Amino acid sequence: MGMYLFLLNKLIHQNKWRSLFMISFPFLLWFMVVPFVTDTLDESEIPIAWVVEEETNEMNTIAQQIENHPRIELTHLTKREAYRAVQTNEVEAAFLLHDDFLNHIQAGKMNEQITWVRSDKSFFDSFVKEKVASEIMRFALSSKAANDVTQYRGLTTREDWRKVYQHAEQYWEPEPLFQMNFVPYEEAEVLPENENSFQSKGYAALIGFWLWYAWMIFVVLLLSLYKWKSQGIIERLRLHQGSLIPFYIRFYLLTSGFALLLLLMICYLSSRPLQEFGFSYSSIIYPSVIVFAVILMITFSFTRIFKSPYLFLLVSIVYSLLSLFFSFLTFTSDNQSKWQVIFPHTWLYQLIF
Amino acid sequence: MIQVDQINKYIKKNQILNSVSATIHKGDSIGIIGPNGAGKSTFLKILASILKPDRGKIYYQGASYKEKLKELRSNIGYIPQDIALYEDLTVQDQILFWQKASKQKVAKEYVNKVMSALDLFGVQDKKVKALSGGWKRKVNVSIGLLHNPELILLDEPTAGVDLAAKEDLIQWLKLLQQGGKTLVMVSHDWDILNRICEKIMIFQKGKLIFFDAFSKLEEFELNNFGNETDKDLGKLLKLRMR
Repeated sequence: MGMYLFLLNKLIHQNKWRSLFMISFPFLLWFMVVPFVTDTLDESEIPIAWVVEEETNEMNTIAQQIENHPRIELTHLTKREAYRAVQTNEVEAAFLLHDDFLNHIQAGKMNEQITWVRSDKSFFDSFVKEKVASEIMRFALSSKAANDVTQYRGLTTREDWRKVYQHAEQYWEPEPLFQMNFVPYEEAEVLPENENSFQSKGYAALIGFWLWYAWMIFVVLLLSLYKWKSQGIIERLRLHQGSLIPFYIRFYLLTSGFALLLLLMICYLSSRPLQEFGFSYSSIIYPSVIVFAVILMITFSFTRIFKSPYLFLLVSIVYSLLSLFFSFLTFTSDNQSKWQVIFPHTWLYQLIF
Repeated sequence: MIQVDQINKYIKKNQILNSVSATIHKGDSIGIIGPNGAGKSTFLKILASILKPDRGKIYYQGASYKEKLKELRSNIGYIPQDIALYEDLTVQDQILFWQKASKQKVAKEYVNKVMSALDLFGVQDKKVKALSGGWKRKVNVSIGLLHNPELILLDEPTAGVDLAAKEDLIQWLKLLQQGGKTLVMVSHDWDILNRICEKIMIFQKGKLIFFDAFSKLEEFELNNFGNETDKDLGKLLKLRMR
């Protein structure tokens, strides 16, 4: 059995250069891309204009907390400068804090306190909006706590209010004491934790591409079956073994095992430099394996349906490319039609997110 | 051993075999001859269970092929006309692969015997694709015989083989015949048919027109082809006289 599998494997990978290329190509590609990607991610900051009418300690603290994020670069501008900077794309967006902002927030008046200015080319500012909102909310909650406590105890001085405010602030460090992670009930078990949508989509595109690559490798390996069939070897095996089922099982295990191992390796490798940005290997690996197992079965069934190797190749390439592109487009637009479930990449994105 | 009863075979609406009936006994050595397209290889593939007849029945040891398929296949050694080998393996690996792929237990001693008889030890480390046509043919034959089958079906075993290799093959087939194996071979080579086969089948346009002892062939020729009604078959039979 062992020798049979060894020789069959040798036959599947008879072209050593081809096999070497199959394995090394994604790694070479990744090593060429990764310095660029990590440098870009390391160096990239999202420029944001910050417009306040009143410079107070609280306002400075809010700005400081936003600026503490490694990806945000706040520039303090006037209203007029901010509008111009957005128009000339010097900044991604501008956040204009209205007059008497602090007093309104402290009084619990939350609506229409900030104007968010952006252009058609703004892309990453929605991520900053989340950060600004969370810092304002933090300020609002601490203020509310300070208001309630000073009112309850009859404290009237600004100093007392600030003391209570500082006490309330302790509950936010190093992380908010109480956090909720909102996930849909049906997907709760497979959703990754604490990933923002920008990072997730970029990573999904990468995993989708690797899945497509491993799929193509499997297709190339399956072409051996057509060659052997035309040479009369498959027919001979049927007579020799009495049935082709044992042969197909072994062939399927060897080829799918190779493609799956390759997928796991490239997913692992490509997740490593991105782990510091919150990407998690384990959150994608199980969905990828499940979806890839179904892909393998579908592709293997194509060899039984399509008698011509050219037709098999054409159908596999067209189907896999449609799956890669359509699924990702609908995934990024969050607008999925029912018919798109025919594409395996759609299942991958559904399982991961 | 095998009984063929009125079998017909069509490929893309063309009738390849037309009501063919024959009985093959254990230990028979039968040569099949006929012009190109007469249905010889199709008949051999039906015997090997590679093709199914469209009409008619075929029995192996008294039971239908379908019932005895597993047993039948384990007792058949089919050597196809085309070289059905993994070209990128060495001869040794090739033989090892088919030995391990076989459903039956293949004795190492028997494998050595086959390799020795066909003089394959000298080329065992060479890849099949590096061998000449004659050597490839010998490896092709050896693969079909590894599991020591009872019924050996050969399709043009000496096509493209040099004289020395052909002699090796003939000697080995003779040994098998003497050992009680049943041989059925399609060939245009009268030399191997004369030396191995005791019976002859003649196919013409899908019909089995002669199936008898080799010695009866002359009488058949005189009765049927004195007037040269079928030129191709007439030419083929005349070659025997050379």
